[in-house]
Amino acid sequence: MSKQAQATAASGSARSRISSKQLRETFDAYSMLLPTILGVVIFFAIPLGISLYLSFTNARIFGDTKIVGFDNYVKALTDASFWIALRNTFVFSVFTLILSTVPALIVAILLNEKLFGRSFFRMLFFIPVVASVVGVSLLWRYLLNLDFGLINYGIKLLGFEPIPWLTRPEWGLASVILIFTWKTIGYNMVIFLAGLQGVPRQLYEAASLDGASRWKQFLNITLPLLSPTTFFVLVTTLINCLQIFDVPIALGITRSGTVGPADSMLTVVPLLYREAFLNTRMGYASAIAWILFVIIMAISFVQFRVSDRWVNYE
Amino acid sequence: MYWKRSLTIFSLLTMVATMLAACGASTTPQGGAATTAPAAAEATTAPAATAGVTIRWRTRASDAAEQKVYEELNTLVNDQLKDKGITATYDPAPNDANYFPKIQTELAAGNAPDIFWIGGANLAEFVNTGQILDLKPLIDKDSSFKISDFYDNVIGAVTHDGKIYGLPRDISTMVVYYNADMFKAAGLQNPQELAAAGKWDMAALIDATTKLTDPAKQQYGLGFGNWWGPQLYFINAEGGSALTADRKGCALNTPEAIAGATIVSDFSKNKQIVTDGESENLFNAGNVAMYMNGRWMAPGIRTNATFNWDVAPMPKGKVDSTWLFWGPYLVNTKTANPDAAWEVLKVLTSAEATGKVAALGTNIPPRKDEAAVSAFLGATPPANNQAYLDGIPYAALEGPVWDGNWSDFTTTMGSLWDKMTAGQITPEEFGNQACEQTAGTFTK
Repeated sequence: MSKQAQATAASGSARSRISSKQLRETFDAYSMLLPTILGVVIFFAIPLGISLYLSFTNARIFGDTKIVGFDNYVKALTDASFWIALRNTFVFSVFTLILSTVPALIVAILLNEKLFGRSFFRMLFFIPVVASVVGVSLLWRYLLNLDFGLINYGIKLLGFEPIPWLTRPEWGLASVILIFTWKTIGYNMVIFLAGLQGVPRQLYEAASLDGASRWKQFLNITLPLLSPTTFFVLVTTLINCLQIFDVPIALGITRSGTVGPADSMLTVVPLLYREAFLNTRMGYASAIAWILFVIIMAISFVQFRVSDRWVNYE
Repeated sequence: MYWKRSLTIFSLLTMVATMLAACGASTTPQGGAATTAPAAAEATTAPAATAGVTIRWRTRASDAAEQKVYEELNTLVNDQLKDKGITATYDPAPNDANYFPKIQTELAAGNAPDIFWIGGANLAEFVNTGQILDLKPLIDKDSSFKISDFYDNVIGAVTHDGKIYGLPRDISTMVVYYNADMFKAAGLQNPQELAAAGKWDMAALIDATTKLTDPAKQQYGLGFGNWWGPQLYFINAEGGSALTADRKGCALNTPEAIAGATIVSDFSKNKQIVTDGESENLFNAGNVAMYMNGRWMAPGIRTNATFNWDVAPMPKGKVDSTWLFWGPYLVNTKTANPDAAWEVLKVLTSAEATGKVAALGTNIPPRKDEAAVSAFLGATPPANNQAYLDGIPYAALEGPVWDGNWSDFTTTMGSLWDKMTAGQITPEEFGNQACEQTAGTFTK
């Protein structure tokens, strides 16, 4: 064998050694990823596909299933309950978005200062986040009770009429906003706190030397540098708001299936649940789910497009 | 390298174990239908066929006191069927809006209990699933069982197309529970005294409700749960009905139905009634003078009330009116052993068992047997148990809607009812909108 042939053989052997090593590593990697991939496919992708198929059928829990085209989507647009749910979802989202981000930012700024008992207050604001939704909703049902609730007791002490939080349609959604905001502020506060701690101190020191007031520093340093965090908080909170389910169900569902007085706490996901499981209309419920999906996608798309104008990435 | 391999093998094993765990059938009481010992799995009719069988049964309880009653009933079933080798397991479920959907979902998944209770009005929805066993063949071949022992109208309601789809757990009429101390303190005749004098009518109810409402003391004249039972009582009492005579359409827009709805609308306007989720607790706490409900409320009052109380018939409107609530135990077609399920069902609905339940205070026996009725009448308080029985002859039977969806109908009706009691729509608008919006629930 010539020297050249020997060199070629040696090089080929090295390549095959590298290939087999790569192959093994690839196998190892996919083996470790496989549980997750299978989980996503079995518990997410396949149900998603089935749900899309069901949305074009008259499927119920039992009985024959027939393809009905876009009937379920048309039905949603003419269903009074769907429009009530959609209106409630948007009203809820707008109020909750404002009430759970602005105060969260204020609290985060306060708790970013060197205050006495800072860790204690951080913990205090975060406790509602880790509390069970069903548990706190039941607790709030007692707190908001018209006759013996602690909140109405306080309102009466102040000389005002008690508020029928859970018994009148005009107050039903306000109760859900109150509880969800109370539960969400702590989480948003922690995210803002993390964002605030990433703002370089030198910028404030330089601004102080230039004579900038605290308010000017907040407007020109804190807010712009916090904008990626604010964007994240706004997007995630809004998506959570559009998908609200647990609080209205735990707080307001009745034996007849209404959610709050006159369906005042009915949002889109509880309606989806009611149609799927209380009225067993799986096809119609799937169509509602896909309409909600499109709405969330559209709103998120707009948020991302608009974000180019106000979010500053360093 | 070694740790990578180990991790890979561990991942694969975890994945396989997870999939096996997810796909495997549960053998716990919460899992599938009846669990049967291998030796008995093949047999179906001989007495020995039931040996080693566990039958899971379910009903819901309004409160802890009622749940205890069913736990004791389970013990009775096990004592009686010990010799036949049948074991019963009581599998309770919460008394909320999810009770029926939970069973329907379990039926679809193939792991519903062998025997389960539902409300009489929901019977059609369950039978239409095709998952409910026709009991007629089992009844026909069992000479020890007499279906004539049960109330005829209830058996009529559970019979459809010649098939018998269940046996009633119990019955209950709706009555007025009243706080006797509150009436006494106000110097008013209580509902029982008014009934004895032949003066217990809708005008008397409105009068007592008005006089006993005192916002300063957080005291309401009248309370009832926010569901179709008490709501439709007012409509029935004024000569109306929720459904047309053939039960194939809505009748909430008739003048009679609107007159009934107007009574409640006026009560709400004047803040004289409480109907929210805590209204029952408010009665038990002594803040409500009268409460309309079925017999199932009695154990909770016995446990919690510290005042004197009793019951009276529902006040007479334009016609005598109350509800005859009932609910059947149904047998799952997928039960592994129908004969064993039948044996358990017979005990659950026997004179002894229903009498025992009645004696514990929960409900009225579904049977006409003297023994069962005597056991019920002796279950005091309330002293005036006869009030529950007096309503049976004229009560409206809670019936299945074979050509519609009762749950769907009542959800729509309930939402509009709330709007009416909140003053957002008038009783006329309630009736008209209810019939418009529920029209689709009658087309199968």
